[in-house]
Amino acid sequence: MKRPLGAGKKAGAADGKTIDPFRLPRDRAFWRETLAAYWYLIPAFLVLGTFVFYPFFSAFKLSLFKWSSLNPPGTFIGFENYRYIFHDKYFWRAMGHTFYYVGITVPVTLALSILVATLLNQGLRFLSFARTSFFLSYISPVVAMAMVWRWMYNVDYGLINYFLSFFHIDAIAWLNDPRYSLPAVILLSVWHYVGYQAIILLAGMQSIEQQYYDAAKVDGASGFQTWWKVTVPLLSPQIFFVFIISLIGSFKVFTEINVLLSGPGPLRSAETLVYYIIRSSGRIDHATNHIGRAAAASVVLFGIIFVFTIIQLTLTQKRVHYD
Amino acid sequence: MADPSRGQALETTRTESYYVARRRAYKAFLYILMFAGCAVMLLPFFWMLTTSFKTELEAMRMPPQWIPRTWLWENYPVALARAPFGRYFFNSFFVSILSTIGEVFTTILAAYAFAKMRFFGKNFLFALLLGTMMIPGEMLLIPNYVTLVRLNWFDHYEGLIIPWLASVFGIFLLRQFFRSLPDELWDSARIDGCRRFRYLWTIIVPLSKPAILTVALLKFLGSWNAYQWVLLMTNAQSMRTVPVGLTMFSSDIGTEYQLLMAASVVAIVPILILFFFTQKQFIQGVARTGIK
Amino acid sequence: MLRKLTLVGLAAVMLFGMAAIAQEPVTIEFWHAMSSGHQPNLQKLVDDFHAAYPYITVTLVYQGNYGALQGKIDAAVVAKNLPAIAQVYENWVTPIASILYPIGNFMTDAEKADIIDGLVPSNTYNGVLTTVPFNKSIMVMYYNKSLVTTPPTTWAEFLELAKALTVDVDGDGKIDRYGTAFRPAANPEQFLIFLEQAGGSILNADWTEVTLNNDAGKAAVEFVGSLIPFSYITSEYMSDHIKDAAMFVDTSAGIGYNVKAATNAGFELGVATLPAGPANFNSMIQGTNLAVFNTENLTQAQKDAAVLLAKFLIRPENTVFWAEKSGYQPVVKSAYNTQEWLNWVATHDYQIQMSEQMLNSFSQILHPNYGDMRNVLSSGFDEIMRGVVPPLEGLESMAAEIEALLE
Repeated sequence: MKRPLGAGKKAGAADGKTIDPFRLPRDRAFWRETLAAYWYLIPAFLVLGTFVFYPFFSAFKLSLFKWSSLNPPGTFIGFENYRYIFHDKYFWRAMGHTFYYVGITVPVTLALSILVATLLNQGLRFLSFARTSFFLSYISPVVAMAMVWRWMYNVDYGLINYFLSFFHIDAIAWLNDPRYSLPAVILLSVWHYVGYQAIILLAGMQSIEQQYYDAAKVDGASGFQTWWKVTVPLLSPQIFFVFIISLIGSFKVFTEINVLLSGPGPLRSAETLVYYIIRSSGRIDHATNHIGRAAAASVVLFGIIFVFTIIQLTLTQKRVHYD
Repeated sequence: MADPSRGQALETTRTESYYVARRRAYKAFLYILMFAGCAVMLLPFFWMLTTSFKTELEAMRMPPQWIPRTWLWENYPVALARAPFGRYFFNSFFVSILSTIGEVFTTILAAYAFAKMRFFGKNFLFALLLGTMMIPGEMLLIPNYVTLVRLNWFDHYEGLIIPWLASVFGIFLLRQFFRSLPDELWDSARIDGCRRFRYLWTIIVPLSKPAILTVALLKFLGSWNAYQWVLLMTNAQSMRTVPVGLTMFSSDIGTEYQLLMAASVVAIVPILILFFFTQKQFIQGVARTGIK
Repeated sequence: MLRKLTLVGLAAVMLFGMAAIAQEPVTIEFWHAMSSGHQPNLQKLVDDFHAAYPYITVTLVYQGNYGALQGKIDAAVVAKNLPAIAQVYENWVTPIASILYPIGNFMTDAEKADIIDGLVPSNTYNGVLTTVPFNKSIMVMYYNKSLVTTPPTTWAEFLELAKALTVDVDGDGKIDRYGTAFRPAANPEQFLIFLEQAGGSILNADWTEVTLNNDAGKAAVEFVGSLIPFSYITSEYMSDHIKDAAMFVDTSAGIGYNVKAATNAGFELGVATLPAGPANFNSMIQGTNLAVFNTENLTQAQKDAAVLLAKFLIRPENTVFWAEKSGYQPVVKSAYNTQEWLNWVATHDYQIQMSEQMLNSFSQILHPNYGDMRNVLSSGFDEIMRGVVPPLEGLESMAAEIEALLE
């Protein structure tokens, strides 16, 4: 392994965090460290390069072709696939549904999982049991979940409508009404992922050094103040992580929809971008296989999240508390 | 503790008992909240467990029959006889363990570079990594299939393990943890003449045990549950894993729920055991590092 | 006499010779998507095949559900490692018809003529019988025997009965049970059946023109439109909604689940042929066919073996065995007269109706864009049945969208 020499000296390790990441000083030490860093990256990038980047770039290529499996990738048609999807009303609807879904699911799940993690971090007993229970919803097979939730959403016998009847709300046809199909999926997703996210946040909380809490105690901070001023800021790397993962995962929602609604929902009311992509690739609903269109839609989806992620990375460069 | 005023001992006692009562009520409230949460989260598992003992008619009933009239233990042997589950379990363990170990290794290296090193193209590469997580797996399947056939890894363990030896998710998670470790550690280690590679494995890794265990656990879980890849990249019965066995209970007409649930219960037991023990392990991990 | 003897002799020599040549052991893969409940029966058929052709070894390869199987076939086309034989849906192979090995070329005219009429067009490419039907099901009428004594035989009776059976049992102003039910998005075939029964079709015979919105199409859409007030609309399986409708059109393959659901709900389920429209009472057959591939990775011996397997699986005794065990329908006409099948029907009376419906049937067209057309019908039919667009208007917009798919 190449020895990474004291790169920190010139850059100044202590204030390295405040340096604008886009304008790092590019001296000799920097390039030496770059070389060292690449050694660290090689194993992962070798695998990812072969099985993720390469197929991704070939997907990008496919988006410019009219697919033919006999003579792959088929006929070059320029941006015709993009033109097609941009003129397809179902693509735009799927885009709308996706943003609606992501916009609600991500913040709600995150807020709930912070609360759950906090609860599980209160030094209560039966913690192992509680943690395992919260994790179980995540590892139970989707079919089992969907069955339970199909019953929860049942118009006549479902728990949810029963609960709503206390508030004199009429029975809702959750799975068969275009207005409620997506909210039904959102609720299922929040429930499915909250335990998992809480476990990650909890691991983060437990890594927070006791000295910070001691300091807060000395300062006479109340429980809530300690949580708000110590726990949450120190947890920000994990919160940021969970946020991005949840954002990405939510943009890709598919299985929950397909299983819960047995398809894209009434009047295709819960068809998301990934549902659209998978349908275009011919995997479901006996659809014709238009790999090129599916690839084009994937590239658009990639573009959206890429922009989101870049914005996130830049914004949090300063905001996330890293030590 | 501030020195209490001796003259007001009575007052202090009353206040303390008031706070004790309040704290107790608060604790009780937290317990209720926790158990209510557990109940909601355990619902599907409970459903899965009881359904695995139902008759086919009971499994289909609406409104649902929560508890089977008679507990049908036969569902388990019947379900497990539907496919060579013994072999599938071996393969699942073999593939999951190897890919977990391998991934943890590559992930630690890459995450460290992203967290603690400065290098050219860092943000670009990182955004690229995150961006690829967005690609629906379906788009990658055909090119990967062709790659595997060309490498002659089709129907081989290599094809089930090597493509999964790195994960963007793991790198990202671990990077977040590594970043929260103070840079001063490196500064002092460097003064002691410690090389970066050794520093990573002897200082950073032990300090990040909980995070690494989290990555390993989630990887193991993901690997254990993967079936799309296994189905696509193998033809031989002898190369397949447990989740492939689970897909066999469904057809386009319906699902044999009671058998699917029985097999699912058996399939998640290893995960449950693993989780139950590693969660203890990572608490100890935190305690042992001595920085808590 | 002498000539006859010579012929017999020649035939014997040929057979013997062929057998001698073919004794070279050959192994083929058969890719399928049958769930584990069906697998032992498929294996039994393969074992019988091994007994008949000892030099051939068939490896059954389960490839997941239909979507996964399709994905795998797509990938295998690109990677050039296709199996000798696979279960396929029509739309999967229409784009790759040029690499199919026409099984029909190795069948006698009598064997070809034995295939159920409604299944021939959907297995014929450029006039050549290329694939053969394998696991096929047909849409039939299911009805609640405690509510329906005589199932309807015409559209008019269907409508009248559906109307009479749509009731608000508890008088709360909401309908508790409908006369019939549709799964328009999941099952646009329900509309195609009415279209066929009205004498209509999506396209004309040479696929140059959309005929969906001609008079027959209008009659069909007006009829389903008249059923809307008496129809329960869902996307889920009918077995999940068995109590919501007194009678409904559903696939014969769902019989097992439907009967169990009815048993749970406390009534008996009957099966009938479909009520007749102005033209006929034909119903639609769906399910997979068997395709043998003609690619470089396969030897001639493997292709020959695969053809033998395909022909073996549709022999009357085998298609009957498969039908009895799986709930799919026999795919050749002679199967319906075998003693084995008649015995089976004697104890499974719903089969009488299903068999009759099989012989009065049609399948999907092999247009390369059929999947897209089905997608249009799925969304359009859903919008019509959920009352979002008036039936005739919906028909016109479906026709316009399909028109765009013709190029």
